[in-house]
Amino acid sequence: MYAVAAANGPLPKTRRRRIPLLDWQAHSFQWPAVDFDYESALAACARGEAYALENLYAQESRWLLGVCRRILRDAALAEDALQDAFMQVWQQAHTYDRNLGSARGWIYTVVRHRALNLARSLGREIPQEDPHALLDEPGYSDRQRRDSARDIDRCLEDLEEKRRESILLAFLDGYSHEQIARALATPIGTVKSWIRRGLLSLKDCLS
Amino acid sequence: MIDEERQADAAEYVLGTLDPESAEAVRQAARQDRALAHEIYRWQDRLLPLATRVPPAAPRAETWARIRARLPAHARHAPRWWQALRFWQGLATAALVLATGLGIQLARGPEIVPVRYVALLQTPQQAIGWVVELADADTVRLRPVGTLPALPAGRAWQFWTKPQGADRPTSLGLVPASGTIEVPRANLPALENQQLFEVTLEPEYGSPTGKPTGTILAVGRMVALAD
Repeated sequence: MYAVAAANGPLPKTRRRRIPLLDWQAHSFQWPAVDFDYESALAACARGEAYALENLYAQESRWLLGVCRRILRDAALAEDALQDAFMQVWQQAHTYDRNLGSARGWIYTVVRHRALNLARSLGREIPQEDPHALLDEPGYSDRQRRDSARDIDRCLEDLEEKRRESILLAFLDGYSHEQIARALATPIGTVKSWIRRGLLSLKDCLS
Repeated sequence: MIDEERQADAAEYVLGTLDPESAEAVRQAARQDRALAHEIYRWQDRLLPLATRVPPAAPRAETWARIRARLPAHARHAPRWWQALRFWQGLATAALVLATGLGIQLARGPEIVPVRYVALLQTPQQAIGWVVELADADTVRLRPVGTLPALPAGRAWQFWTKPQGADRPTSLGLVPASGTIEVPRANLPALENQQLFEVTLEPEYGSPTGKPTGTILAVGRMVALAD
């Protein structure tokens, strides 16, 4: 079994409350120094040890909620997504395979997918704001940032602009092909190609 | 190696741009196809740093309370003092200091046993609690010497090793009540002179963190004996 993040639970009924669009955050937020063993926390969840889930929540929930809020743009919905996602982490922890990759990466996928599925099932419309506002990238010319650029940033920078925008809109904002096509006023087939080619270039650059 | 199409499928699966049917198809395929599953995990890790671009937000207290309420009742008991992370972090540090001290002490002592590899695991009272030896060329055996320490209810003995220079110990498994366990040599990260072995007292199902968290019952270093 190499199962990965799985399907959705029932949808919560929640009053929707808009939170403002975040500006494209060119700088990275400092994640706390990692002295937390995510792999063992998942293993303990798989054994049914609830305090491991609680430790994981204490460690990571603020960051995961940030990810959900960015995708859902609604504070209450984001907390619903976080809650459902933690239940999925609990229930699916046994499917995580530490030989294949990090537990943290696995957890983020579970949470992002839960938020994406919730956003899509609600048929969320593209926010009114100009999507390019999201993509203004003051930080890319910032010297300090260039100096400290990590591999992923450097590789994104190397991508053709539209490919980079499409990938970031998908990853950070949870946009579908259709939403990206509308946001960038481009045919959907072109967007699909940008994303696939962009991802493959990213892979080459990172390896 | 997997072809470009499937690599892109794995990437888009993680990114979240596949339609629901395609995403489900990739998920199903990954159950059978280890290469595809591996590629998905790699993409999870490749894209993970992008998540640092999003500012954190503190969840409301009710959110954890609601998660907790959805956990099965038997798993939901309040964490006991020995399950508190901070407690174990502190104790693990103290235990490591103790283990190092004991290890050095042991390494200085003359111990001669007629086998190629042997480690005598000493209790904090300097008694020998366990011996680690090669049962055969492919098997490492931990066996008790003398009287076993008491094993409290709801606890377990866990067997660990840490080669010199390793950044963390590796669990070699929970020790049965007999006090003896045999471990395939292939499960050890190494087998070498000065390698640390220890037995700790852990929660019933083993250390919750993957590192030794409980009292060190006995510890010692491997001695490689010349033929």
